[in-house]
Amino acid sequence: MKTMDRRDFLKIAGAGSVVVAAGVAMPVAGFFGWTGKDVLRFRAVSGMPKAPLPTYASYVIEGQVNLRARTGQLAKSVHAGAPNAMSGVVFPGTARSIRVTDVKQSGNEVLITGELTERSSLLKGESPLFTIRIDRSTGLAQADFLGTNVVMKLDEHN
Amino acid sequence: MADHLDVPGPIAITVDDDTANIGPPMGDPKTDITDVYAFLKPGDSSKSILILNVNPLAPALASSFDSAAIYQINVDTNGDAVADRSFRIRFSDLQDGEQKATVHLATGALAARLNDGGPAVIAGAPVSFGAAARVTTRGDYRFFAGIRSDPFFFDLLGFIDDFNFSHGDFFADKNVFAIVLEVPNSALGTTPHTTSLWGRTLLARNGTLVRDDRMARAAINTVFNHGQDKNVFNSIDPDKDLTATTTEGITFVQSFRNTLAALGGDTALATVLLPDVLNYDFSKPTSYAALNGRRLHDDVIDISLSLITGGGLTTDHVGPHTDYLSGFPYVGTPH
Repeated sequence: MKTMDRRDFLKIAGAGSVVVAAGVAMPVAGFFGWTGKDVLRFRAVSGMPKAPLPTYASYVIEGQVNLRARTGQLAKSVHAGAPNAMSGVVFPGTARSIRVTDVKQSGNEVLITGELTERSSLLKGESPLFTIRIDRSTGLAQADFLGTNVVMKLDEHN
Repeated sequence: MADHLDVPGPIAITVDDDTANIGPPMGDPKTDITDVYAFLKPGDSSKSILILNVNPLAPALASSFDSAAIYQINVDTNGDAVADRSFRIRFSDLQDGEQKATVHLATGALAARLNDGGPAVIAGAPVSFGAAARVTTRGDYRFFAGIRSDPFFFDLLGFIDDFNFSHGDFFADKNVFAIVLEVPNSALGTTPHTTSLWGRTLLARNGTLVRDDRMARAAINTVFNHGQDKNVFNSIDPDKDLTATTTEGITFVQSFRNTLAALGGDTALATVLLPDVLNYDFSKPTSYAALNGRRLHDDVIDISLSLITGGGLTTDHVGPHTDYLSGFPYVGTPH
């Protein structure tokens, strides 16, 4: 595995940032997790399309919410490459910022609802409203992708 | 995604405790092949147009050609999937916003080796970084290299949405870096019925040339090869396609059969799709549907969908772009 300093990393990552919407973070494995009592940071990823086709892209939802204040900021995007080989390249038109409007917790489940901050360029089948259901006990999350429910793997660390 | 943004192998980068993969191929979109085309020159069937497109989403990810790379259009003349002729395109370093290209034509045993040898058929050709196409002509050869409208059309989001094709043409407003060659058919050999082509990029690594990306028919690596097998497939030449094995230890042929069976297609197609070359009989009209070359407007996705699903799916509901040019370099003005 090639190692480089952050400046070089950002220089390379910056090539992808041209097609990353403003405010949408680059996916960096291990960066996200649960922090503190009230703040949940997470990243959920799903490879696309499903088998038997090879995974070509990764659907990513990431960000953080405050469980007590029931607020937060999330982002979703589709990246080139399978989850285990994800690139920093985001497919143009797929990056969205999400303003969290409610957070409900029940046991190991967290239900987050929100709305897209930009509604002027929705893709066909894309709702301006957002929901993701996170289940820590299974390490899975469920969310919508252009009208289809997808199961996503939760990438978290305590 | 004819081969857009598909890996030879994104580079895994570790920064402190963070890890990210920056790709595609070997981290450089400059050598990421998106499509390969070969068709008879409109109005003059004694010549052919060969196109090798790279750099998906240009210029967002990269804004020049790689001066350390060799871009190849390989030609097999006798049906053994080994290059007998090879057009090798190299670019100078980017200086003051300019790059110059040289095209060498290697023949015989030289063509199958990893090098940039052979006599030059085009030299000092300027790269086009703007809307105007700067075309270089030398004898029977014409050459263009530069940013152009991506001619590929496909509902990419429908593909990753499990074949729910309702999202429109993802590539309608995208650009690529195109390499376009007009060549006399005689440069492709004298046995058109056994002629085929493929694109290949080579990179200099530690003083040697290594295979980076390769492509012939549309979406073969993208649709049939999983994970690390994509890199394996890119690292071999077509003459090994029938015998090489995947990381699971089965042949690529068997792996293709498995995917075809799962999709409802005829498993016998595996040995039609492999070796992965673009058959090109320049004595006959070009038609991707007839497995003979590829024109810009050939709907390769509809043709492929129908084949690999046994007719279960026949279209992604998008069609050819309207910006193709009637004359050289044929690929449309960049967006």
